[in-house]
Amino acid sequence: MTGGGRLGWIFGAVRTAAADLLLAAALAATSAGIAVAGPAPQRIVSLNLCIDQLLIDLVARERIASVTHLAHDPLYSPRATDFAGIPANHGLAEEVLALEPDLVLTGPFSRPSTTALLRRLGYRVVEVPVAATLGEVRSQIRELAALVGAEARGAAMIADMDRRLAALPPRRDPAPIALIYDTNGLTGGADTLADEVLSFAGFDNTARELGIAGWRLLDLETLVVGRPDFLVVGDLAAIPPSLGRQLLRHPALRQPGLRRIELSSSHWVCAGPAVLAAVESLAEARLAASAETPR
Amino acid sequence: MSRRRGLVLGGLLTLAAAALFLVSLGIGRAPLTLLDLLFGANGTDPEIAGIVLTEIRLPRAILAVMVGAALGLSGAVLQGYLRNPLAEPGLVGASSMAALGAVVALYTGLAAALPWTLPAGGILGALVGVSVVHLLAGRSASPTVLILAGVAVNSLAGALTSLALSLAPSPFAMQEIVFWLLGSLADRSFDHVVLALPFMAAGAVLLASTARGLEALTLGSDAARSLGVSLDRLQVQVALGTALAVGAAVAVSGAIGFIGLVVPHLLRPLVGWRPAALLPVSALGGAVLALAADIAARVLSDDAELNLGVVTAMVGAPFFIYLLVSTRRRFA
Repeated sequence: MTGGGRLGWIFGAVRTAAADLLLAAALAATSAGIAVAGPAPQRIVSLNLCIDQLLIDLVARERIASVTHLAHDPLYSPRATDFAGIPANHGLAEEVLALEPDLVLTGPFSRPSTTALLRRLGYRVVEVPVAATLGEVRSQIRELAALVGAEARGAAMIADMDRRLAALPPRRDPAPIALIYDTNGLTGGADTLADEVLSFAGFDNTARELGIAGWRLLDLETLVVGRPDFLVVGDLAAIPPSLGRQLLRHPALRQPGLRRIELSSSHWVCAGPAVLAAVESLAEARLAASAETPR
Repeated sequence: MSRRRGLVLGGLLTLAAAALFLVSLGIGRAPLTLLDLLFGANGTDPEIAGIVLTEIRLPRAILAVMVGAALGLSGAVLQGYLRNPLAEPGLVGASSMAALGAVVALYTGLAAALPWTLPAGGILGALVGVSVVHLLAGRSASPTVLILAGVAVNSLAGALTSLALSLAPSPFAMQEIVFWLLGSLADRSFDHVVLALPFMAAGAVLLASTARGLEALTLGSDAARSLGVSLDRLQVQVALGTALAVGAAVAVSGAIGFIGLVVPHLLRPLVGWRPAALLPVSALGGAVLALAADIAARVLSDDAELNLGVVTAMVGAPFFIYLLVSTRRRFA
């Protein structure tokens, strides 16, 4: 035991023989001393962007002690402005210590060394599996809601998502084909959130038709030959200048038969309600286009 | 006699460039040959063929010609002016400083608002590079001093480029350093052709206008002066011409090394060692080499294509070493 953190001190004390009295005193000191999980955490630190995105809807802002710096970056976070004022972390143990959290949430990609160090210092660190699809996100929301004591809010979020999914305009055959084309030509094939977004919005995914699984860089010529009806490029105004962005302005992507939709790729970085926002606006674009020129 | 040999050589190089140009149009990531693209063979959709040919492959081949010609021509001029067999745009700091200027213009967002600032940044950078190396080494300095001055400026430019990319707001900036250091013609468009062409043409005119001065300079500075050649004016023509041609080229294609070194060397004996005759054939030879390298960059690798500078370095670096050895022997 190297000390640091009130809970660490408490857990350390549990192991000692004469700890019973101390523990009782400590538990009494907290407002609601419920069993092992303790009270609903009031100073939550998240080290994972996808957890940030759900947390902001699950608990009051005041209870979030810190989110990842990515949550503040509109390139990755569709609602970056909602996080304004919440301190940012870069996933480093030092930053977490200073915040004195009572719950640290990590994802599968958090640094193991950071997690181990925080645990050794006695912090409560919980790794939450991050959903890869909209199907999986329900259980992730439930798990997270239980951890932060917001079960009712979590259930409401899931119900809202289901309602929005059910309200989507029906798919029409033959479905128009669309391609998500982001900075550097990044596209999502089978088994990606991008593919799920297109499919819910009533499109076939060009990348899937080209045999792409996962995320891959797609060259211009293959794109042209793949012949999508719609091209979903990132929100060009929000992407900082680079050669990768320049590619999205290539004249080959500005053909009369190719409809461009500008939509920030931040929507399909994490599974969650933001994905639905993207699905809804793409489905709307599909309907608007088919109203113009019936296929 | 030698004039006729120059004409024959020029004709052959033009033919080679034309052939490679057509080959270049016939290869790409899409499995479409030139016949498919031009005549709709194998049931190619004319609309798709049109886009692939005119928007993707044509600007690429045209840029290869432009960039190669600019590098070959400026290499010939620099070697003649500095009377140094190792001079070339990459060595005298023009290419690396041009990359720095273009990087600053692009990643600050300046070039998105004002496209002409991209070539302008490259030209300004190249001008600074050439001037600093010239100040450090002076004309007719020994090859060693020139190389050292070039190394100093190039390493500074490389460090500053890396710094600028690290500070750039784009998360993709740092990985794009490969483009700026090694060059590529992948995914270029007519926007780039239009952007660079006027500057590169102006640079080529300036470089070509040095022919008479370079010719006189072969007799020595004093003799050149007595022949009515203004060395100050020649210096401005060389520096400005190199900056315009190479700076604008690097701004749209990244720094591509060795073309300016190898091409004039290979062709010099074939035109009877006359600088004036060397200039036009070096431009043509540069175009041939750039086209060939760009074809190799696509053919040699199945997956992601190679950077152009990698291919030219594989040819150029051994050549450079050979030159170093032979110059050392001469100066020793």
